[in-house]
Amino acid sequence: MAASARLLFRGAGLKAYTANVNSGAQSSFGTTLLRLSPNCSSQTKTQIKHASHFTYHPDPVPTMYGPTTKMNLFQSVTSALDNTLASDPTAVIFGEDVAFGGVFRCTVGLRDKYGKDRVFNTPLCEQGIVGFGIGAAAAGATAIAEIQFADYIYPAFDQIVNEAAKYRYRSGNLFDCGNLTIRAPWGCVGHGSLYHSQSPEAFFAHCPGIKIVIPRGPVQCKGLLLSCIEDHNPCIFFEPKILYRAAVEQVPTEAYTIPLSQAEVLQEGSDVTLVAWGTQIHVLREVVSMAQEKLGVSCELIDLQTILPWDTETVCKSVAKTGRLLISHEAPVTGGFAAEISSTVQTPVHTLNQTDSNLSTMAKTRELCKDIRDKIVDQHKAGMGYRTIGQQLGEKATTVGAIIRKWKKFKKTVNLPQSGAPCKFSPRGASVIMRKVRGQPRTTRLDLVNDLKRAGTTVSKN
Amino acid sequence: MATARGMKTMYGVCSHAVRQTTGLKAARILQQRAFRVNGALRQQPFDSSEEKPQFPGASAEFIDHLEFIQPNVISGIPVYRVMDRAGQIINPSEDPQLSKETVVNFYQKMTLLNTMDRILYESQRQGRISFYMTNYGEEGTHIGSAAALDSKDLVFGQYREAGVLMYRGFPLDLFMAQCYANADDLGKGRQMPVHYGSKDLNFITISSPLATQIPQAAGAAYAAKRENTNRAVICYFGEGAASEGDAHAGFNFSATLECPLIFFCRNNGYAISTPTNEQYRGDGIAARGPGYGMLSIRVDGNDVFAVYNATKEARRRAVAENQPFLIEAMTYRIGHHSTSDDSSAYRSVDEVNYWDKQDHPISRLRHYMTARSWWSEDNERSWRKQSRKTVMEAFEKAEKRHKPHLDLMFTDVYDEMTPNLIRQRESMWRHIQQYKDHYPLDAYAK
Repeated sequence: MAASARLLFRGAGLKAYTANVNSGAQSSFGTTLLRLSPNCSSQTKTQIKHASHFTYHPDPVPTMYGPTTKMNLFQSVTSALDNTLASDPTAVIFGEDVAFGGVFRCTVGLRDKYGKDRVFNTPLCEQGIVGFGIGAAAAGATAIAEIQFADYIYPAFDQIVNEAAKYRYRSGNLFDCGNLTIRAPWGCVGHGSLYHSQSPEAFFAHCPGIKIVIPRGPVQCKGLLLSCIEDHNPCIFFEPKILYRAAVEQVPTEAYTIPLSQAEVLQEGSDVTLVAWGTQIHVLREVVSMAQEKLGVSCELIDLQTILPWDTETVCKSVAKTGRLLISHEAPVTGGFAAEISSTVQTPVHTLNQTDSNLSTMAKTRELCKDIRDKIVDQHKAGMGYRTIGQQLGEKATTVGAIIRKWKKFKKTVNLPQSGAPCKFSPRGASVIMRKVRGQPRTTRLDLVNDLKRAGTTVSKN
Repeated sequence: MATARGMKTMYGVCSHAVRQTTGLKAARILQQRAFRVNGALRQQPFDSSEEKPQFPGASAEFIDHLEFIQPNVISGIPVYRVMDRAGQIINPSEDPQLSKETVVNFYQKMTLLNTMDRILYESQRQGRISFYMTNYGEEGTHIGSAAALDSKDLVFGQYREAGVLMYRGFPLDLFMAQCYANADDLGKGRQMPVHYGSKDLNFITISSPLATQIPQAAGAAYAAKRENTNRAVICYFGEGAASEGDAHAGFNFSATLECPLIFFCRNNGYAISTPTNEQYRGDGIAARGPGYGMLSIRVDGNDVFAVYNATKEARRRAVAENQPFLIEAMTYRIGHHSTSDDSSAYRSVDEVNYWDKQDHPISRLRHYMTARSWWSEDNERSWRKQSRKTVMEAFEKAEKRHKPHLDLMFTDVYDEMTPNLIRQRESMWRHIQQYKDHYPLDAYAK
């Protein structure tokens, strides 16, 4: 199972170790660049298959965190861990193969710099790694556990869900393992197949008590990882492995944090909201420019960053503005995290909480209770003027006038359609409307009225 | 001492096929110690001029005939004891010679636990609490081991270690509060009964999943080692939980990472209804220790002094030498697994009676005390009356207390409440307000 697949990678690592350390132990990972032999000058079909499926879009150089240096994603992880080990004497890093630098080189140099009691290998046992981390965290140490691939995190599922997530709650806050951070390489890499490509965030999103964070690039990675380490809750930090080498940015050398549970609007737009995290952000960046160019569609791009607890406010506010939502993630669609986002966005509760809800434009005539409206009509019938009636009942003359006008026209004091009132559309009329609206979501009321007239039905704009 | 003797016998059993001179054996032990102490050092340089195996995975001699090593379950690891079943000291040099005060305290704690168990078991039967687990027959393992530790040593338990907490001074009120899930519960009424925890007494809150505490104890011990404050960690579990993968993980991690940790296995014969011959085929849990490179011992769990001596020595060496110890305390679960269990379905009443009458930790200690005139019939009678009275008082008080405030359903999920938890809490209050006839709030703290 896990052991046989990993033989591949242990082999790769070992090869690099005995050969030339600088040549990069991860030649088989990350964006495998086109390997053109000197004789071959054009891209053959097989070579195209190895090219990565997206272009990495680096973040602009951050200016508020001090001096920066060029780093790729795994180097930004090393930098964050370096800052942590330097400032926190209780911090320890452990997992399989972290001592020599890790299969993705995230911990290179740390053991030599900080000592073998702080950066050490554990036996090959994920449930042990996380269990050990929980205990160390509960005893007061800052525990940073590495799971070699997110695909192998499942043996630790019990420890994460039943123990880490519930430690504080079940003990009445006597104990907690907030000092625990679990890191794991995550997501598609092209050739990873079933067991080196998984995105398991949805399994853990169902578990209150932990936090799940996924960065899109080195600057975000270091800041978010440092936030996770600082955070007083157990955190799982998934690192998109395809970006380990492909993503290069100017990253601050000092420690800095990027807040958790805050989604980032990367690009503003008006027609549709796009939500993603990790690698798919870069795919969607391309989608944004393609949509603008080819369809004239303006997209708003949001990087969710924290999957749990996620920033519902930013996403819902954006969807309220654009009216449309598209979510892109790498995991299976059934029960994937997109399902959670779309279900929350469509829940009426949210629209009620927002002050710019469309439901707030109800006519004032509806707000007066039926008794008062009937009284207005009676008094009018008795010959009283609008102003007099208004003064008597404490309402504006214009309101009184509106009610009386409506009564005159419709012979009713309540004329707005109520839910459950019989629908006056014929089935044909209704299907015309639905067809039109489905095809063109931007149909206006006037369009519909005109269409229906052509179809032979007269409707009022109300 | 007993530990060394046990180790040597074990050694003889496992490698009886390999001819060893005592000199070579001693050198072997030294070599292994060297490997452990200098964990980071690589093996000695490969040298094929010698006819010795050069494998990095194991250092052993070659053998030229085929022979499988016997697991040897018939005469396995011997059981260390200090008192016989009648409470008489067998080997006077093993008597820890504790003061009268200490021993009487042992006895009182064991009997107080027993009394509390009886009353709370009954209260579950009467519908006052939802669930309970008794400790009948295992009081010796709790008190003996707890007494051998420092008060600052961290305890990771499974669920049948209430005596450890009692020995450390956890008040009856708080035991009751947790079982009743009332407003005084340190755990804020969130868990089933017997899931105790105390930060002041260094007792990690119990959780229901079995054996999850074992690798956690290894991590805590590692952190304690780095703190360098002479602090040990003890981890309790039953022989059933020792079958879990987490147990294997914990043993292996603690040995490879050199943690000052005592693994205390209460082998009480049953995991709910599963007897030990369906739980394992090897020689119990103690025999697994050497497989991990761990010093191990098997003790008579119903002999408080044997448990005390083994735990004390293990603790001393664990901290001094930064290595884990495995103690398998053999005992018998006299009570049912829990209030949801009726053990007559899978074992005979005669079997239970034997242990209750002939080999009980409380009676053995009483014989020891009466032999020294430290405890009389009068003491017994008045202590029974007094302990029952204090338990009943705590019990009645706990019954009357309010349940915890409803807001506590939503706090401590994270260190700070998240927006959706705040929303959900408000939604709950609105719901309760609207349907207040269906939600009597009088029982809850305001």
